[in-house]
Amino acid sequence: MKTIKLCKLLGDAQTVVMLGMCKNAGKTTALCRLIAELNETDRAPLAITSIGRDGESTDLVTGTEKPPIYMFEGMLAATAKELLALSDVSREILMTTGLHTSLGEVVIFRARSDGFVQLAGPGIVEHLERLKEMFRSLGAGRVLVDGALSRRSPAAAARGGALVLSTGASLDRDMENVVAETAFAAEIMMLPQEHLPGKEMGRFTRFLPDGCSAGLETLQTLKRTAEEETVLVSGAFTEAQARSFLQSTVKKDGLTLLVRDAACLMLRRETYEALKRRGLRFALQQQVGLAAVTVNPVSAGGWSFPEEVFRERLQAVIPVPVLNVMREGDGDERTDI
Amino acid sequence: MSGLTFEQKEDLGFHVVRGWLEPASPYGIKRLRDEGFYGPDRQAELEQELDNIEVLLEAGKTENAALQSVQTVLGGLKEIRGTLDACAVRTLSEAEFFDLTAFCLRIESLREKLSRLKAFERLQGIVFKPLDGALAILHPEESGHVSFYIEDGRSPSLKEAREEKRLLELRLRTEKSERTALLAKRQEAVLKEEKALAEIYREMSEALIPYLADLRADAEAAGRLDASLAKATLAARCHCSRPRTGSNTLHLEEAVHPQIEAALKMHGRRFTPLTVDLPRGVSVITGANMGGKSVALKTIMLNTALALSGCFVFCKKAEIPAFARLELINRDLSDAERGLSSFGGEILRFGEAVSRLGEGLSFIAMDEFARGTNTEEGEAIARAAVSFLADQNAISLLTTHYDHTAELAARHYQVKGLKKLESLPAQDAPAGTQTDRLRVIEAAMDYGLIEVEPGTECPKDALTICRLLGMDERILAKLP
Repeated sequence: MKTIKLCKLLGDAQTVVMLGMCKNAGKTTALCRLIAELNETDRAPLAITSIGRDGESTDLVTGTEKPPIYMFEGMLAATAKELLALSDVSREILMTTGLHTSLGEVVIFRARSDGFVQLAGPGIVEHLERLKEMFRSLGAGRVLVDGALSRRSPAAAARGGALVLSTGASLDRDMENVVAETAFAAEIMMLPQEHLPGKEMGRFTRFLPDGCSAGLETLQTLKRTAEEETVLVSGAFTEAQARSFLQSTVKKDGLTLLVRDAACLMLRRETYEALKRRGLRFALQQQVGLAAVTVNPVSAGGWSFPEEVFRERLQAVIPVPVLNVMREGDGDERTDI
Repeated sequence: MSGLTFEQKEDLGFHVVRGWLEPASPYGIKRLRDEGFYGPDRQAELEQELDNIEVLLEAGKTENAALQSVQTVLGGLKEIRGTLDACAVRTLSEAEFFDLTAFCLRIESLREKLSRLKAFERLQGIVFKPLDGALAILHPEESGHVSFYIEDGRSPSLKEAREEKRLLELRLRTEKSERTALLAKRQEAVLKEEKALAEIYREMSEALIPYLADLRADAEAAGRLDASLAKATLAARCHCSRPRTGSNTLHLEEAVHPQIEAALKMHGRRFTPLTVDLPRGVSVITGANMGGKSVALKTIMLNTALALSGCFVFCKKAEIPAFARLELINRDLSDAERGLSSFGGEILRFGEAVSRLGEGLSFIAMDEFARGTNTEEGEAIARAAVSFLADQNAISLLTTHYDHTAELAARHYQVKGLKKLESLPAQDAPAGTQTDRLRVIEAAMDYGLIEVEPGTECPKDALTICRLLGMDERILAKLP
């Protein structure tokens, strides 16, 4: 099998966010792979943190053994005070950040040896932005962010950077469902980017081709007058909203729904597909560069998919490279180090 | 304790104005919060504080760059007092050692910056102890940057553990086989390293105990410096002046209420500064409705309270006696919460003020005392209060509408009032919006205070004000 280096797919993105579709999707394995690769290639020291907590050796949700994160001498890391003692890398503390988590203040350290680390970075995207500034002030290069748990909200953390999405057999017993859900997540992240046509006016703002705009209470009250128009959704577009709109008589063809970023589309695949079939288009104000999808064909529940079939099925519907990080690379069984 | 309640300070604008102080460090914030009221027993301390503000205010003009660099270092200080408390009883963690190291290095940098600030020599009561003893424990390598790391050489067992660990990590980087065994061996080295570090941390924590007092003293000094600097900065920005303390009379020249002044300015209006000289005994302010009597009272009380909390004042000149108590007797919204009418609240508060007269010189400010009841009895109560306060150990100030109250006062001020209106025909009610009407009143009103003979009849402007505010003609026609 041809070896693809994950790091080659990132371009010069200065922030890389790792997202998992579910637990045991191989996200941490992918992260460790990337750390090892970038530590070889990048000149400026790599910085790692998480948005939320991750990196514990036993998965707190499913109780399964998961690979810890292994970092290298010279790299920087940001984690909560209480997790410092649970990391076994030799640490030089460089900064206490004033950003707080339930496990204490986030602290930045430089690794003075190789070793394992437990990460719990800030839970808020704005705080992550501040943390990135601090990393830069300490001379860090790229920042790798372990997007813990939710596959949606950390997407916003990747603004202007790259995203690596991990998926796996743990998501569903039916491989076709895993493929469809993953393709859906990838599709949302790669929706076309559009600029805000005018000023935001409440929950929904309607923009007509002639430059007129107006605020709307709900999408159902929209009276279509133009062939093509755009409605801006402020905040999240939820499943409930999407369903009400789907059931309404409003003409969907020629309408574009614009949301801030992929994290704002909080609807189910079926609803999304149904709206799309009626001619509705979706667009993002801020796009995230999906760089790669990684797969783990083995589930925590005991079932697994034929690995090459699984990867190829995904590759057929996803326009970015799909990699099996459990196998690719150096061919070593343990790719977590 | 000043005697002012939280609600009264809120109402006076005291909290708003103190909130304009912008200390750079948590120590400055705490110092300002805990500074308290400078009563008669703390006058020397107050003088020292005002001296320091004056020195820093002057330094802001002559050596501003040096002062700014001091403020920048103060801004980088983090709160470590909790860590100091912890150090006395337990072993600190690496993050705590880092915070102490950063604090010591920043204080050292502050000391260096202060040595280049000429004004620093003249500051009183702000002394920074050198922290090289603590730094020798925390940061023996004297590297230029702020960080915390125990170098291998700190103990033989640490060196051994780290070397062992490093060799294994190097092998792990390249070797593909036997990884599990290598990781297990590394785990043993990790445990040795942790054990060696725990021992070093324990020794360090104990070694730091003799230096904790110096660290606390420096935190305190940083708080004092930061707070005084914040006060000097505000004084410079708002052109405040230094109050003279310990005087016999409460004397304010061209006093303004900065919060009200700012609000007026937003509407293109101006605050008329006030000048008063209040001796022991009772002074009375009378004047037209909407003439600013209550604002005058607030302005005088606010500036007095600011001076006695160690700030410069919003006056051209101020002389502030060493009051033991500040008493404000006004309509207080919290009365209703306590189940009192506004009249009941006033009477109770007045009673409290009277019962505390023995505690030292009081400043008692009463806004329209006893107006919440019928005129006849109300006036009798106000007269009795004035008559009683005349020979007490207090400087008292009343605003009132009652004609015969001022007769008993030692000093009587009147709002100049609607004098400019004499040339205008009074029945010409101006048309237009409420704002227009207020503007007419404001144009006609002179908010300045003049001293008059005690007992001079109060101006009767209420009817004119009604007309100017556009009261219905049908009602006005029914008036005598």
